[in-house]
Amino acid sequence: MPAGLRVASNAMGYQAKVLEGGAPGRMADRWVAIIDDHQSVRSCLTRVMRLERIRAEVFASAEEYLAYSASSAPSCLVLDMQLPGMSGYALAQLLDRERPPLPPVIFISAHEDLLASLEHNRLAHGSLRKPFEMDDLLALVKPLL
Amino acid sequence: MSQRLAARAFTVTIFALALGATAPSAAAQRATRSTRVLVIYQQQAETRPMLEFAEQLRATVNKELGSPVEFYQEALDFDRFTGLEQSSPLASYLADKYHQFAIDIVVPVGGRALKFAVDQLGRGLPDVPVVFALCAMPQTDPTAQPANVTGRISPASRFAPTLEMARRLQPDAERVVVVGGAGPSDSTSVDAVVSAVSALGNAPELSVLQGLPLDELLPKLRQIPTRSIVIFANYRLDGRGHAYEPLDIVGSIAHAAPAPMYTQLASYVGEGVVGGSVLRFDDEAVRTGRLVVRVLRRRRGEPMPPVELIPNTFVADSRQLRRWGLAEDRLPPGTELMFREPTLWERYRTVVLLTLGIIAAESMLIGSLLVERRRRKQAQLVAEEQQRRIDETRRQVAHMGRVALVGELAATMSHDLRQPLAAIRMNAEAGAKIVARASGALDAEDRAMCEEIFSDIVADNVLASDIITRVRALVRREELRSQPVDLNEICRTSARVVQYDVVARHAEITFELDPGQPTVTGDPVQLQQVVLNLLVNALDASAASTTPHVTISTVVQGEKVEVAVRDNGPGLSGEVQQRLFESFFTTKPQGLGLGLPIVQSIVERHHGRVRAENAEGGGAVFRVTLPGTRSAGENASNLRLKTLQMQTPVANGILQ
Repeated sequence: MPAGLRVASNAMGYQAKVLEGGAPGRMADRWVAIIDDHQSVRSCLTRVMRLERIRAEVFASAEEYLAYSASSAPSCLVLDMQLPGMSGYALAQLLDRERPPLPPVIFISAHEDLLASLEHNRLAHGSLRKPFEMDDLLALVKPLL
Repeated sequence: MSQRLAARAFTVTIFALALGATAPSAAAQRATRSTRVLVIYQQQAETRPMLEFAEQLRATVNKELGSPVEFYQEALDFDRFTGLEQSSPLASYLADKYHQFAIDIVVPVGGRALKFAVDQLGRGLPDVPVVFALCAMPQTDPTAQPANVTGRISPASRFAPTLEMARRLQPDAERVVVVGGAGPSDSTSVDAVVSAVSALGNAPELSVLQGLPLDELLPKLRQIPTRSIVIFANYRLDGRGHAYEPLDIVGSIAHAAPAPMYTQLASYVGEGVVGGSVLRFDDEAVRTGRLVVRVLRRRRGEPMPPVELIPNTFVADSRQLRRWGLAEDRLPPGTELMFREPTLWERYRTVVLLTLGIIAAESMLIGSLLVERRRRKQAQLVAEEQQRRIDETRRQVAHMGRVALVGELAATMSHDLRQPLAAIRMNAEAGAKIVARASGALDAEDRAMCEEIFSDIVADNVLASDIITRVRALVRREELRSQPVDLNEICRTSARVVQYDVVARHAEITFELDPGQPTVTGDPVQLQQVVLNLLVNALDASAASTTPHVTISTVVQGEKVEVAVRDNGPGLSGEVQQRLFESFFTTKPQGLGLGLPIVQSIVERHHGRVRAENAEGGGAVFRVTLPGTRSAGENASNLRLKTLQMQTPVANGILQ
């Protein structure tokens, strides 16, 4: 069986199930912004976040994210590097410059050379090469909530 | 002869040591030990000119002396460690360090290294002969040196003859601009230039740009008047305390200056400097090495050889003379001309003679054709046959070019495939988790999620197949199709194909697409190939810019439609512009030189034309003009209307 298809471990707490709308209370103003132009990646990540009771908002482009006004900044950004229009990295630079402080950014991309260019970059909290395991993403996201 | 014997004795000693036999006596060791040379640099020793100097010096001494030599070196870098020159702790540290080694000769490189060796080190290493290199008057006074010192020295500042050369080449120059850094040796050089300028009769205006950081210096330099002589004094340290190897930056300084630049070191010539009266490190290393050997071979009691004068050497870069339109025959007599290219006649003599021969032969052929009128018809047949062959070749070349283009795009395509494949795998993994988590049957929510997952997977699979189909369409060798093609759509698809390249190069594409539906009749695959080719070229060209930017625009102009691809690269030089559409002409290292000829042949087959020009405000723009379908395509748009009407009832039943 390929590594990516390993069945979920119990440790990740998949027993808990919550309907959409997110959990009440403390978690309500904690949210994750997912920015990826690939529709099925967006929906896949949304489903995983929903299973984990994490509130997630998805955006198909940097411009769409910039146009969205939220009452609170996201706890982290899951950001595709390659986007139509403004690139993911350009978005992080812009947010860092014009809307500081920049939330932790987890860059994702199918191209390792793009990710390799991020090494030691202060704007990158982490990076994942697509396809990545959901557990790896959650391990990066959860401590930030 | 005695040296050869000594060398042999040395070899024998080593041999004995290697065998672990009896240890040699102390006397034998002294008699056969290597000669020890201590080289003291006042700069860093790792820079290219200094490494070349060290290498040449070592090679010369080794070769000429013929017995083993050990080199020790100290790079004191006085430009950065400014206090060290008068430091006696440093001197006593060095004296201690070399105490055990019995240094035979000290070679200070540079005036301040010499001063340090004599004033400071001399006490620790008394009576050791000193041979200095790369020194200049008046900073170093050869008559004031102790008896154990000799060396090679420039008789005066090199800047006086350098200025003389500049004034010969540019008699109408009104100003001398001196460029220099803030380090001690930079200041010495700047002062030398200033005094050389003021010594000139009819002294020109003088500007000194000293100690500026590089990012402030370059813009200032761009603004100087063009009727100037720029003298690069030296630039080892800027005003903010950053140290530079001048060789690394002299090129960009020469490039920024709108007037010819001159200098005093041969190593800088070739980086964009016109030339000057220069110091040649390689020559100096060899001559210093020979002097070192003469000193070492002195008989007991024989005085040191006298100080040698470094001769004046004029050097000029012929490419720079051409760049600035300076006349070669105005150079001072005896100037060594570097990078001289053969004249057109020298280079193309054979080609010219051959062409003349061919022209003569062809004239005869034409003559005989004229005479033999009876065969004219036959000749016509030959011409038709040739045309047929040319068409065939063109088809083959188009195919070849398409394959070459696909080669360039294959990387992009494989990157494109990764996106849907990654999504499929991530979705499958998430689905497997949902199924594994449910102990028994799936509940409604799980089922809904799994359904979503499956439809995502199918969508990604379709996307991946589309990408593959797109590549196949490009490689297949097809006959020309003829159908209405929306150029806006072609532009957008082409941009998607190169999207990976765009992101990887931090480039940007702007669309200025005419909303009036620029439609032409033609082959969609071939037209896409045209736009793709221009786009790939534009991206390559704009890579030279710090903010690579490409604009694709479409415009409907009456009966015609124009697609323009504009970059912000360096633009097209005269020669490039002329040869642009020649087969196998390329400016890219990996290019085949087939892209634009194919573009041209496709456009011509579509009854259009393509031209290239320099855009206003920099960069190049390629314009493809094609006959639009607006008038001739009245039928085509009617046809489309009919199709729409037929589809409407099915697609949108509610409206009926």
